[in-house]
Amino acid sequence: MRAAAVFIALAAAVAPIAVALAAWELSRVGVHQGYAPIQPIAFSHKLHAGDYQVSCMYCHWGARTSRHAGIPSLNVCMNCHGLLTRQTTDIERLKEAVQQGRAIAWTRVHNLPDFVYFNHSQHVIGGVACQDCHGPVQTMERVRQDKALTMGWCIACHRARGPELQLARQATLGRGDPHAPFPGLDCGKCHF
Amino acid sequence: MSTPVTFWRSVEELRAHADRAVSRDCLAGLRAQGQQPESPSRRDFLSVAGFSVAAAAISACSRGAEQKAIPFLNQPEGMTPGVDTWYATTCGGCRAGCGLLVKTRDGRPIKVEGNARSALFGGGTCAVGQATVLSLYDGERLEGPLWHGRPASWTDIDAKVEAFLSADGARPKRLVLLSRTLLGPATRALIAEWSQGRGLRHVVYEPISLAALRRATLAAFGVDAIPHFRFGRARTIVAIEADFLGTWLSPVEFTRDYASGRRPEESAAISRHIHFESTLSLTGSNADLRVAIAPSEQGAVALSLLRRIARKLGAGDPVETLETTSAARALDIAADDLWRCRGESLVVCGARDFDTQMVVHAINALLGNIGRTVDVDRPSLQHRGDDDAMAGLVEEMRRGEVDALLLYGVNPAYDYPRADEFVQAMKHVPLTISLSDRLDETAALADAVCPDHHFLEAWGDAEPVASFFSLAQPTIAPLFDTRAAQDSLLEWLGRPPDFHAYLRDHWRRTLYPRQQQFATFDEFWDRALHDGAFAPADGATARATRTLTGDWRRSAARLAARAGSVRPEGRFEAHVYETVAIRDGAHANNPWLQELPDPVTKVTWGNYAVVAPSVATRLGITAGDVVSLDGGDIRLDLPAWVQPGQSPHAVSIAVGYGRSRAGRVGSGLGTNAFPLLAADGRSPSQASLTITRTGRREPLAATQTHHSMEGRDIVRQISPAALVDDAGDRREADDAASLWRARPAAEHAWGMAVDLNACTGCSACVTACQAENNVPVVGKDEVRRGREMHWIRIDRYYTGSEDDPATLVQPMMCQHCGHAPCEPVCPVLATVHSSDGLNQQVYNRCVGTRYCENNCPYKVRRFNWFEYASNDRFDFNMNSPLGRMVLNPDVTVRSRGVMEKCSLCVQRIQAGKLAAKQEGRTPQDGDIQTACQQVCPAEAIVFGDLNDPASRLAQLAKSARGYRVLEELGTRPNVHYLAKIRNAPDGGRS
Repeated sequence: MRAAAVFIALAAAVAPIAVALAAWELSRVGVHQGYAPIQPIAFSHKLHAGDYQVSCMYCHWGARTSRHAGIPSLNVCMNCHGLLTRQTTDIERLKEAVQQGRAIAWTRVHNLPDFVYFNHSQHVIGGVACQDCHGPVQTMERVRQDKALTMGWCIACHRARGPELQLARQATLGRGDPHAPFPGLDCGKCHF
Repeated sequence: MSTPVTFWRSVEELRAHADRAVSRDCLAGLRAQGQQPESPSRRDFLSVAGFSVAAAAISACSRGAEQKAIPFLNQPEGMTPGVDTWYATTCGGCRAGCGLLVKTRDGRPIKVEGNARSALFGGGTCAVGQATVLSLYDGERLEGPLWHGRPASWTDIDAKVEAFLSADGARPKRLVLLSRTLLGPATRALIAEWSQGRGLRHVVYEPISLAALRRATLAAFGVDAIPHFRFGRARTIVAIEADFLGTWLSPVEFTRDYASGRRPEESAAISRHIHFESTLSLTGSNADLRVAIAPSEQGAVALSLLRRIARKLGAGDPVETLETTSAARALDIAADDLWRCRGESLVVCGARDFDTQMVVHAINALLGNIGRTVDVDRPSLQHRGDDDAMAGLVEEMRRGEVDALLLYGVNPAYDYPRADEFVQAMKHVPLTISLSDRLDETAALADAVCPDHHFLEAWGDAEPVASFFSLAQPTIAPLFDTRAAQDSLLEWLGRPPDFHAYLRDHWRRTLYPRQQQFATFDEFWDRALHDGAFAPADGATARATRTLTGDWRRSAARLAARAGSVRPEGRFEAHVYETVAIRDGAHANNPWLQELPDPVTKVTWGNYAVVAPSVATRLGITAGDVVSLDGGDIRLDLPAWVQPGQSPHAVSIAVGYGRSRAGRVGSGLGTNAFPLLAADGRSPSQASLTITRTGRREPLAATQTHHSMEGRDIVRQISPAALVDDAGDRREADDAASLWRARPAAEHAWGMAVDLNACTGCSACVTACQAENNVPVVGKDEVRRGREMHWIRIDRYYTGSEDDPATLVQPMMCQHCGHAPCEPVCPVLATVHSSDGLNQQVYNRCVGTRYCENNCPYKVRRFNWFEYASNDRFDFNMNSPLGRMVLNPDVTVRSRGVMEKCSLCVQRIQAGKLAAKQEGRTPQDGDIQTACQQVCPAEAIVFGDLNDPASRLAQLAKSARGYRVLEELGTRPNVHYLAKIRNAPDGGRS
């Protein structure tokens, strides 16, 4: 009897904590914030984008015209490394891959589910900076997913900045109803 | 394939998303915990369902599967991942040779569109053209050459072939190339070189042959080709058994031209179309006046028409005979209309009989149509089949007079009417080489199979109409170890196997001199490749005479002698025809085409014996009863279909079915009807069949079994007179008070208009939508249950009597209602209204209650009852990595339990808006085209912005013909329909 009472008391104490823990875990299913996988070549954005100030668009040129920003093909790397003499293990790996005709299989860091349509060029032309969604990449030795990239996080920005961007665009075009609803909040904008 | 999971209920959801969302770590973790009871008891379930276990398991799942991103080693110039690249080429789906623009994404073609720059064909394609992109990814395609059924290398085969050709050098080898109609001048030039160099004989074989028409044109006008028919210039069209909008000769071009003559907003005069045929065809269903005749009456109808025209000319009766056809009234009207519009009229005939074609040529000549609607100066080169040569070849083969036979684009072991004879004759040929891309019925019997590229992988050219040239270029590197047929021919001729170089050289020598625009050949070639089509300005190539030569009177006399033969009692004439989807059976393995509902019968996945309602009643047959058609030396068993409008004297069977070696999808479907053509070698009208019930049943998979509008005003049809009277009288249902709050006006208000007068019902839009939106194929069983997934369907309604109905078609897709009944009933708000007027379906939110489907009055919502992708039960194009290459990456592939419907191609709307944004402007009318709009050869579908008063949609929405379906329900649809105009004689005929 006593043992049963103790057990029930313990369970009553532990249960709310367990529930809260489970609820939090469940809400983080599919959220990969902080994911920083090891890459086949330890490319440092801190070195290239930070110290050497190579523009994001030099390598990730797709971001302006395509839905994918893309990862640069090796001939982009060799634009510089074909001329530079500095040799490290990673640069050696790079040159080996080029010589063997083998593309590098990078591990994808930022990934959205299949039912989400995200178009880089829409945002890049729209005036969103790379760091707004990808965080301070120019400070990262190894790329990590800095933001949650959850729908709520996207919608927060759409709500906050969308109407202002739409007004700016209307001003540029010289037409448009300033009271028109911002289409960026339609479900079908990203889910189709 | 996902691994089976034992007990954890939530993991089933993870399983449905197979190898993507589920971490293999996660499943392994669960299994490692050893929790796998056979049938868990309640106690076990509770112990396992403890929150601690749940938290641990789920946190292990939160990482997801690792994904690799692999860029190019060297990025090709001009290609951006995620951005489309377009190539102009020529379609190889049938012999028409329509121009195409092929959309490739990341190096592979995913969508086919017409080439709007093509003067002949315009931007539309047919359903078969749309489906050819899927046949590129057909798992049945051979992956390399075969010798005696076993894989071999190209060098081995070339060595064997060359050894054979040069062996026994004293006597030259008798070589025959048996091919389909080859449209390419460069290919024909190459074959001519073979003829000169090696004595090759070229026999052109077409299973459904227009040889009679070609011979008649030669006899009548001295031109060895089929005339180029200009339907756009005709104000009266009379057709005798010619399905020119569906399958006859050049349906895309003819549909475009035909529709251009029936737009009341553009010209006051609407063309009149009178049709005589045995079975209700796509074209016949569009006619203003249609008469059912027996196949044996084709000649009599032509003859009667000729007599009437001759009488109008005061030329007297060319033949003294009595009238024998039952279509007298229709013939009077036809003759009157033809005479009234002489010079702007057209009579076409699909009869496979020389005399009938001669008589039709005579009619056109007497009407002054030659050189205007019947162009023999620049004739069509789209059909060059020669039945006599083929029969002669089979005979020679049988006698052992052929040493080597090359088979290129033909399958006579299946589609030759006397296929057994051909198969036997093949055995007497020492070397047979098939250039087929798969191991079809004929290739399986050949010594060597040297698979040709798919036309999307190959270089080539085409001349569908004389002096109208187009190029074909590869849109993807060859997927398998195939070799272009022309490369094989070059190799065996001892030349370098580079047809690209040969083609360029041919164009440099023959076509470059015929133009003045470009100073260098490379500039000319680049422009021709870019545009796809080239038409030199230097006029006619055929030396034609417009006066009728040849003894057409003798043909008329022969027809008169034949007419009036007594049909045996209780016997039916066999009528063989091609369906719009399957045609001659070459594409039988294409699931999109097998599932495409026939435009008239709406039956999928198989053929059937079409009988008239009166016959069905008399014989006690209902649709689905298996009947036996007995013609003495031939007997076919197949299910019956009761078709209003069918001639009571004929039973119609579609060819293209009953294949034994089409592939996983197409083999064993239906019954082979080609043997019915053998009765007199060509025309089936002499075949005489009895129909008997077998007592068996084989239910047919029809998508529309309900043919009544239940007294509602769903499809509207008016006469041209009514159009003038009612101008300006349009009900505005939107003025009625509404319980819903008005939505704020946005920048755009997307909508659509469908012109029922232009729409012929060809169903190209159905396949285009399927290709664009990753719509799955569900198979025959599921279609029987009404679960086909097409987002757009063509509803077909009949009016009038059962024996002689008028047909109305209506493309029906999501109406994107302003007050959508589906939106308020979704418990999870998975279907909502966008700010710009679209009814959106959010797949990831949908839980599958199907309340929205229930509430939709138009029944346009489709439910995913199963996981159609990566599922062995639905082993179609989505069940293999090769087949999945056709999927459009811009559209979600839906999983089980989710509702889907037409989205007005929201991905295209987004892309169009983005393109405008990139250029710093707003989208213009015409920038954004939905897939169905783009493909329509008749331009019947118009998408646009209702907020833009200058847009074509806004103009059409205000049309006097305009209405919206079921608008009295208050749904406020954004899809407008324009009523069909029936230009019936006497203004009558409902």
